[in-house]
Amino acid sequence: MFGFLRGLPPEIEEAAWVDGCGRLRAILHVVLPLSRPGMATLTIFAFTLAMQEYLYAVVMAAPVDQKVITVGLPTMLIRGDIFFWGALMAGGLLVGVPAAALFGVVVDRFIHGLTAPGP
Amino acid sequence: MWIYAGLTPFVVFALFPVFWMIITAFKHERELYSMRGVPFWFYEGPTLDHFRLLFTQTWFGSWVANTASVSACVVGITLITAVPAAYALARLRLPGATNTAIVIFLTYLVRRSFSSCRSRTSSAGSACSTHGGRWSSCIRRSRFRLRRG
Repeated sequence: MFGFLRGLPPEIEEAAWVDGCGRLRAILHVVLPLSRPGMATLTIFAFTLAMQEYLYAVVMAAPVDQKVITVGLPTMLIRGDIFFWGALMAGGLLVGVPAAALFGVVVDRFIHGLTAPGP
Repeated sequence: MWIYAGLTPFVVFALFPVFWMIITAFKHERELYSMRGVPFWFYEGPTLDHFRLLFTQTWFGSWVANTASVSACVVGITLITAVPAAYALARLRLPGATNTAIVIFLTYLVRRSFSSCRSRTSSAGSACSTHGGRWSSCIRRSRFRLRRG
């Protein structure tokens, strides 16, 4: 996001100031609409990190109906040393396939976010 | 077109776990543990038993709802905090803004050091073989990028 805003030419914003916008209005009406691609990349990264999170999720949610997928599946479907392989794989499939399809749509933007010049 | 044929082993290697996951999800319970037949395909036919177990005997529905709401909240909070912070770091002339940005970027790098380091070094075409070389070149490049702007 920082790198994206850096890449945005400041002259556009200065033009908005010249035309009578304050800093806040310039941000709202000029910078935010222009930084939509950066916000999309940020959304993808935040979503990925949230879905991958395990440690905090396993520590913080104890009641079984308040768990998230990444915690609920392994805690409920592995009992002792018995693995419910079929149900585990079915659950992973039900969550993973839509997520994979979503990533198939946005994969170009994801790679661009990883390899774009500037952090 | 034919140049992509060389990718076949990698594609097979990457997709085999997914394939295994799919057929395991649809196999009968006893077929999973039996030694008869070819393990890569069904011989008793597919079944939906596991999905039924998932929806009737676990809290799968509320897990999915929880995951969706948590992800939505994370994305919302990240956008609300990161966009103004990025604006402040990029536009306002704050003392130490560049160094703060470097520190933030480096913590990000440590967390996902592997993927991000590798993609960055390979995209720039540099050949750092050792880990330390990779690290220092990443840091140098990020400093260069931040100072340049």
